[in-house]
Amino acid sequence: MNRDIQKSFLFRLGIASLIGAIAWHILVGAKLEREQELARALALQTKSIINGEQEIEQHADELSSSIDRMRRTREEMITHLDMLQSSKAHQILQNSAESHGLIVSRVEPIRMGTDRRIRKVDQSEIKLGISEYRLECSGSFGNLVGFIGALNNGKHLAQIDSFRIIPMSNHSARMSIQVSIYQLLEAPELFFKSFKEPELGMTDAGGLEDEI
Amino acid sequence: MQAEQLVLNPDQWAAFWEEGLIGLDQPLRQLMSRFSSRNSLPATLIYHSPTATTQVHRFDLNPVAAREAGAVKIRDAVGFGDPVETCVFVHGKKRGKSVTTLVYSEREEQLRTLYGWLNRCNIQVRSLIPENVAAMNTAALMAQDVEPRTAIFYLGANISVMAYAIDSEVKLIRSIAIGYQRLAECYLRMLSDGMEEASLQENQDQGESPAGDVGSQATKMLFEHGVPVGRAKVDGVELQSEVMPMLAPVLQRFCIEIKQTFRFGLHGESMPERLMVCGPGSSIPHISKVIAQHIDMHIRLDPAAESFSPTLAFGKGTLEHSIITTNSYPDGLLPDIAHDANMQQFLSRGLTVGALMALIALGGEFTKTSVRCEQIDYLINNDQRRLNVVNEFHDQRNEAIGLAMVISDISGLVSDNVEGITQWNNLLGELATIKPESIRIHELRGNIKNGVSILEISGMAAAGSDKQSSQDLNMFVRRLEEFESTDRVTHGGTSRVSIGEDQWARQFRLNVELKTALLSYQQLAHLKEGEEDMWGTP
Repeated sequence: MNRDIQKSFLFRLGIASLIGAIAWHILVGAKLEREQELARALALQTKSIINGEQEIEQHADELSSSIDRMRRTREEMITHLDMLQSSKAHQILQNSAESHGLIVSRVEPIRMGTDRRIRKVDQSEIKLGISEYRLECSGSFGNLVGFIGALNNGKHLAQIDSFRIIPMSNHSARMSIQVSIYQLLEAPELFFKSFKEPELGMTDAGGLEDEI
Repeated sequence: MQAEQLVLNPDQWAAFWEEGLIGLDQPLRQLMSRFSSRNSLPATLIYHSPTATTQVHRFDLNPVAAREAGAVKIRDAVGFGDPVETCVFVHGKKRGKSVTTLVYSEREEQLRTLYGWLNRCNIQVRSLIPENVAAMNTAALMAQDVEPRTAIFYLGANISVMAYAIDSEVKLIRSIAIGYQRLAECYLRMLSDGMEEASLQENQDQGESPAGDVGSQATKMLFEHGVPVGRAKVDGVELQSEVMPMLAPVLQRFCIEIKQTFRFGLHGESMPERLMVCGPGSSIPHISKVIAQHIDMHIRLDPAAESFSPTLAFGKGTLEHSIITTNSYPDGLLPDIAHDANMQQFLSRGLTVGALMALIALGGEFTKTSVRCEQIDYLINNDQRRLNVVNEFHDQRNEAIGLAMVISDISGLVSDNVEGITQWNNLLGELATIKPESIRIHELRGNIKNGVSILEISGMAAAGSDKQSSQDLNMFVRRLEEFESTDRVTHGGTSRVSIGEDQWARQFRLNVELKTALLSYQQLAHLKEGEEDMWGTP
C-alpha cells in the first residue's frame, strides 16, 4: 500500500477513533455514570425506605406519645414560666393574698435578675428572669396557709425563700414572706414552633395571650 | 441496454495521445451525456493498444500457480515498472494436466493516460482491457465450446485470433494485429479515390469528420458486399476489379498466419480438421469461401454470423457484446494510481462503515442506557410516596429530638435556680390537728438553708405538770416526724419556764426538715446533648 495512503488512513482512523472515544465519553459515558448514580440512589432509597418503614412500624407509637408528652410539658412550662412583667407579678401577688382574705400591708421588690444559658447546638440563648419580692400581710392562720399553698401550687413558678408567722391573737397572725418568681424571658424559636398547635394562640415569646 | 457510439477521425488520434487524450474529453463527455443514468457507474474500457504485451504459456500447474508463473515470465520481458495481469483458460470444472495462461501487460504511462481521461469525464474506472486480450479471451471461450477437432479463427476489427482446444483444454491461442478493418481500408481507399473534392469540402464545412464518416461508410460496404466474387457493380464501380486487388494481400496474410499458426504452434498435437470463422468479421460476405481456397481444412462459419450487427455499438457479434454477455472476461489492467485510488476508496468505505457501525453501537448503547435510566428513574419516582412517609417520620423524629433538647436545656436552667418546691402549706395546714392542746406556738419561720427546707417552730408546752408538758411535747414531735412531708425533726433547745403559781411549762424550738419535690419537668434536665436513645424525647 502506498505510504501516503497508509499515513492518511491511519490519521483518519486515529481522528475517527478519537472522535468516537470523545463522543462515547460524552454521550454514553455520562449516561452510564448517570445510570450508576441512579442505581446507587435507588439502592440507597430502597434501603432507606425498608429501614424507615421498620422504624415506623416499631417506633411510630412511641414517637407519637413522646410528641404528645413534649407538647404537654411545653405547655406546662410556657404557663409555669410565663413572661410576666414585674409590676404584674407584684399585682398578682397582692391579688392572690387578698383573694385569700389577707390584709396586705406591704409588697416590696427585693431583687431582679436574669440567668442565661447558651446552647451549644445552635448558639441560641435561653433567658430566665428571677424577681424576688417581700410581702407583709395579716389574717387568719388558715388564710395564710391557703395563700402559701397558692404560691406553691399556682400556675406560675414561685419559690418561697423564707417566711415568718407570728400569731397576733387566737384568730389572726402576721406573716412576712419572701418569694422568688421565675419567668422564661427568651427561648429558641424551635421551642415554640415545633409541633405547634395553632389553636393554642401562643405568641412567639411563649406567653398565653389571655393571661398577659 | 443503452449503447451509444461516436465516430472519430483516426487521423487525429496520434495528436490526442500526445496531449494525454485531453482532446477527447469533450467528445466523451458528450457521449456520456446521452446516457439516461446520471450516476458515475463503474466502466470497463476495451482499447486497442500497440504497446500492450501479451504472452501465452502452458504450465503443468494449478491455475493459481500458473498465474504466478505466468506473471514471473512476463516480468522478464516488461520489468517491474508496468502492471501485469493474467488470465487462465479453464473451462468450468474440467481441468487437464496443463493450464494455458494468458499474461499481459501495458505501459504504466499509457494506462495512466487512459485512466486520467476517464476520470476527467467522471467515469469510474473498473478495469482497462487491451483489445487483443479481450479477443483472445473470447476466442478461447469459443474454442472450448465448439465441436471436437475444430479450431477457431476469430476475425475482430483490429485483432484476429486463432485458437484450438482439445477436450476443452486450450492447446493453442495466438493473436495477430490485423482485423477486418484492414479489409475495410481497401474499400476506404476505393471510396477516397472516387470521392469528389467538392463533396469533401462540403462535409468539412458542416463540421463533420470526413475521414471518420467515410471510414464507417467503408466498413458498412465491407459488411454489405464482402469479398467480391462476381462482377457486381456498386454505383457504377465493379468491385471485383477495383477492390479485390487491394483485398487479396490482406486475405492472403490472414491465410498465411492461420496456416503457420497451426503448423508450428501445436507442438505435436493432432491438427484440427475444421476451422470455424467467428467474430464480427465472420459476417463479411464470402469470407469463408476465400479462406477455404487457401486453407487445407474444412471451413465453417459461425452459425450466428448471419444475425451479427458488427457496425453497431455493442451490436451482436462484436467483441464488446461478447464481453458483456460472458461471465469470464479478463480482469483487466489498472495503473498504480488507480490501485491507490481504489485502495483509498476501499479504506474510506471501510472507515465509513466502521464509523457507521460505531455510531450505531453508540446510539444503541445510548438508547439502552437511557432506557435503563428511565426505568430506574421510574422506580425511584414510584417509591417517592413511601420515601416521603419515611422522610416525614424522620423529620418528626429530628424535630422531636430538637424540642427535647430545648426542653432539657430550659429545665436545666430552671433546676440551676430552683432546687425544688417545698409544700410548706401541707404541714402548716395540719399543725392545728397534730398539735396537742397544751402546745402553744409563738412563731413559725420557714427557711431554705443549703438546699434544705427547714420549718422552725417556736412555742411552749403548758400542761398541768412538767411531766405532762414533756409528754405532750414528745407527742407533738412524734406526730411531726410521722407527718408525710417531714424528713427529720431536730430539737433546737428546750427550757423549763414558770407560768404562774407553782405552774411550769416547757419552752421549745423545733427544726422540721421538710421534703422538697422537684418540678415535673425538672427531671428532664438530666437529658444530655446527643442522647438519642428513646428518641431523644422526654
